[in-house]
Amino acid sequence: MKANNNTSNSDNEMEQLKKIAPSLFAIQKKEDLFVVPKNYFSALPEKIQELTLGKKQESFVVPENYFEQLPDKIEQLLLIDKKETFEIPEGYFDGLAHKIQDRVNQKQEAYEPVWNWKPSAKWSLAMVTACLCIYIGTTFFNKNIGQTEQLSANDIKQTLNTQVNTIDESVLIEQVNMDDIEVEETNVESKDDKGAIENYLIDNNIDVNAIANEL
Amino acid sequence: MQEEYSDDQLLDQFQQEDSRNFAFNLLVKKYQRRLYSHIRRIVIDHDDTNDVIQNTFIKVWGSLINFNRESQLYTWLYRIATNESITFLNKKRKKFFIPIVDVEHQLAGSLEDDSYFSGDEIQLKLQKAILKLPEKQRIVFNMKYYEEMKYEDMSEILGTSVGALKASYHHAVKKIEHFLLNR
Repeated sequence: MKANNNTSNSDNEMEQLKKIAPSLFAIQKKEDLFVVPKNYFSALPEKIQELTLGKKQESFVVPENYFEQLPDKIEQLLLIDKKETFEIPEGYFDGLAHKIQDRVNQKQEAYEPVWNWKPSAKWSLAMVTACLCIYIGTTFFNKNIGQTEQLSANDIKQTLNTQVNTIDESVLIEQVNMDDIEVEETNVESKDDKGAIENYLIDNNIDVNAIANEL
Repeated sequence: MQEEYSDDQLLDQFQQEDSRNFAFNLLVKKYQRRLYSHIRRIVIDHDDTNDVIQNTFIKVWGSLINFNRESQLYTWLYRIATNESITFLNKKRKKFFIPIVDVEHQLAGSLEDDSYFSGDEIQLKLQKAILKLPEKQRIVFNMKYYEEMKYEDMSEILGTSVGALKASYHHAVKKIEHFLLNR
């Protein structure tokens, strides 16, 4: 059925070709228009095989007649007696085990631990006393530090008034805890305050534009 | 006479490492003539065709293991061969600084010199007419006229719709007819 369809399609196409291109239709269709060199296709698969698989083998060059001579060479090698090529002093292996054991023992002695001190009762008592002193000292010191936090508000105010110009502003900002600050709500929109601000600016000859730019 | 294996059989054997080389060898034998003719009609010269077909099969060797069988093996092979042929012609243009319009002239010249061309005068005239076509149209014409390929398969190979291929072939036939009548 499919073959019949293909044939009828082909026939239709040929009919159409005859109609639209009679000169082309008249030319005999020649399949073997391009001649191929003799034995080209019989040699091509081998050539392709060489190109795809041969690449790996090309990197190792085998001398001429290597494989023909190889079996004979192997046979010759098998006939040769296995002879020890390195000479060993007489009785070398008899004393070897003792020599090795001696060297192992020497090394163990060389690596005896240097720190092998065990404290006497007197030394132990001295160390315990020292530890107690350190403990008492640090506890007392920390107690004194805690007391500095209990300074009165007046003392802090006084200190700030006298030293505020010498403290860096950024340091002060870093130390401020916003939760501790109570912000007094002010109504700057009230007429009185506005008037007071204006008077202040005029009295002190302050440039309003310069402030606006700074903001 | 060696038994011809089906594409599926070849692909199955290629998947197995111990029969891979054997299967590839059979695949080359099965498709070499068809691919050769297809490439030869595009690049014209035998030596160039020989280079392109070798490159094609080297590409096939490298990619066949990943072939997912969604398309037919032969359309996949044709696609590689077509792309390799077009790439080859583009490289030739760049190598010899040949402008696109002169490529047909150069190929027609090699057709006349080619000792491997067996056509008579009218066949030579037809080949020259085909060479006057734009490259893609020329490929479409050859695939339909000489290889009698189905438009659906051509569509798979060239990545062009069936409608566009039919139109392209129709235009090509008209142009060739015009060339044959006026020269």
